[in-house]
Amino acid sequence: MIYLDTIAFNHDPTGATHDAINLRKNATQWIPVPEWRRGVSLKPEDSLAAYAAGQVGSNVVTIQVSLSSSDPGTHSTHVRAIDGVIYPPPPSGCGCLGWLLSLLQDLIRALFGNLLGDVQGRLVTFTNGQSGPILFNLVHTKLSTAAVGPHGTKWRWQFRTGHSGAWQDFQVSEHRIYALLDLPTAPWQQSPYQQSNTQLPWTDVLEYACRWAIGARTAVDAAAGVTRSVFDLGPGTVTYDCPGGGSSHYSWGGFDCSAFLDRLGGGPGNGIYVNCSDCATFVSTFANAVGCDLWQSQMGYGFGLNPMLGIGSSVWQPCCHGDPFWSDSFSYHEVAWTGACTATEHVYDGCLQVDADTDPTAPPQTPQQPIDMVFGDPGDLTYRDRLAVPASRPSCAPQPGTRQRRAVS
Amino acid sequence: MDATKRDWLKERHRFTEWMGTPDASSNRPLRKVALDAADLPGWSLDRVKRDSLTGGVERNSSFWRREGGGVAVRIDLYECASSAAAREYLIDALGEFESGGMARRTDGLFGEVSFGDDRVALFIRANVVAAVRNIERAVVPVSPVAQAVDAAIVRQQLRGAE
Repeated sequence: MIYLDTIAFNHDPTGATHDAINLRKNATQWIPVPEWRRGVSLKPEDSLAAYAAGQVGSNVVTIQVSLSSSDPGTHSTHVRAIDGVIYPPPPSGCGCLGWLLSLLQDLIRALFGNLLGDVQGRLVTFTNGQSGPILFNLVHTKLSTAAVGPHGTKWRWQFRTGHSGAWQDFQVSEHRIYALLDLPTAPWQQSPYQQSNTQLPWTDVLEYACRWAIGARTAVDAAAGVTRSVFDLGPGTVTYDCPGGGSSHYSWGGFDCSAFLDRLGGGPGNGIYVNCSDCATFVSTFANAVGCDLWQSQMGYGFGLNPMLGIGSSVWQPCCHGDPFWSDSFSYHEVAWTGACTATEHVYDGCLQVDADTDPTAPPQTPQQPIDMVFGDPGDLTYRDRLAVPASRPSCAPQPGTRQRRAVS
Repeated sequence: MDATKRDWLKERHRFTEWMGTPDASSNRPLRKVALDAADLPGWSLDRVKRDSLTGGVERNSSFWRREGGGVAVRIDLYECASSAAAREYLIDALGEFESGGMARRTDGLFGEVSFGDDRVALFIRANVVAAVRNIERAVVPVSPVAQAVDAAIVRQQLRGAE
């Protein structure tokens, strides 16, 4: 009998051109490699890996596998794994539809096949019943053209003796694979790859970020998906902190990402209220996890506001209008921003929607999520004009000195 | 904090009017300042987090629920190196509020210097900057909580002086 003992996706922590990237689960939990272990990894969620499409390109991707044999007479065998979705185990006693299945398999592969394709067959030799860790090439992968998203991968592991024997199933393995545009950018790190480094990308973050950016093939599309998803968290999960003067509940002194994940999962987190710094941090940190390159940066200081839709609100008004704590003004505002975070660069604002028509100071309003929107100068009718009232626009100036990427905890 | 923002905040909140610290003999720095359940009668302590911020500021964040109800407040205590450092840190704290209407309180109910209204309180006592905030939809007046927190800090200060 042949056994599949372990599969390592991230078998080379020094690079991500031929294997998976370095990960951890969250602030406190580590993901050991090999990611899949016999008897331990029972569900796809027990075997997590992520690939950076921009690093892999057209390279051959490999996994490192350990096998064992309980038959002392088996010194070598051929082993492979085929896509468990395209090639489900055949129904017993009926081969009549096999020809039809084969015709459909190419189509099914294109539509539903494993992101990681198949594991190419190779000869495996055993010493005292153990193969030791050996590399297998992946074939038919979709990594080079993959859109962002979480993907299930299911492999039917098979062996045969000799070159012409029938392949026999001996194990099914299932994995949850995250397809990223490229390596995560700061605050996420790839090194040092050690348990004490809490800035390695968290799979708990990738689970949300990949869903929010699902289908994206460009950084703009991925950041757009994350921005819209953050705004759509209101009013059920979070809402703007009008009663508290718009203070930072998740981003004061760093990003309390653990609390935000708790809130996303239905827990209390740090409460329901958020402000612009929180939203800018959510957007940039989650977008950067899938390979975008955004910053958190502020504008200001002290400017009046056009009517807007704040996160969690369905009323067009200057933020928190009518509240004595507010004066239809922001002391500052913070967004996810590209490049040097100057007037010529682009912003992504998950905290509010602006009026997209030719007069953002008055009704009627056409809601627009600021996505890949040039910050601009007064009179440009870009982000700055849509946010600030005309007299205040000079005070709503980019403050690139505030540019940062808050560390996660 | 960015120097441009700091300068703007200092001017807007008239820092020069409250930058002076009380007599040093009555203002010994507190260390490992914390709250316990006895400090806030009628409230139950849900959880506590401690972390270190840049500039040597130690933060103690506690989350409280009103007994018999779901209302929750968060209390952050930012322990600075000195009273003067706390006054500088209060500028940092004010920089975390997006409202253009954040104003200084003059009622003297709590703290040596205080900002906010009845829904959020920000104040200094000795080398500690305290923030009391609502965190759920049901908003509770925070002034009584802030007064209790201030009293707790003063008690710890007095114990330290003995």
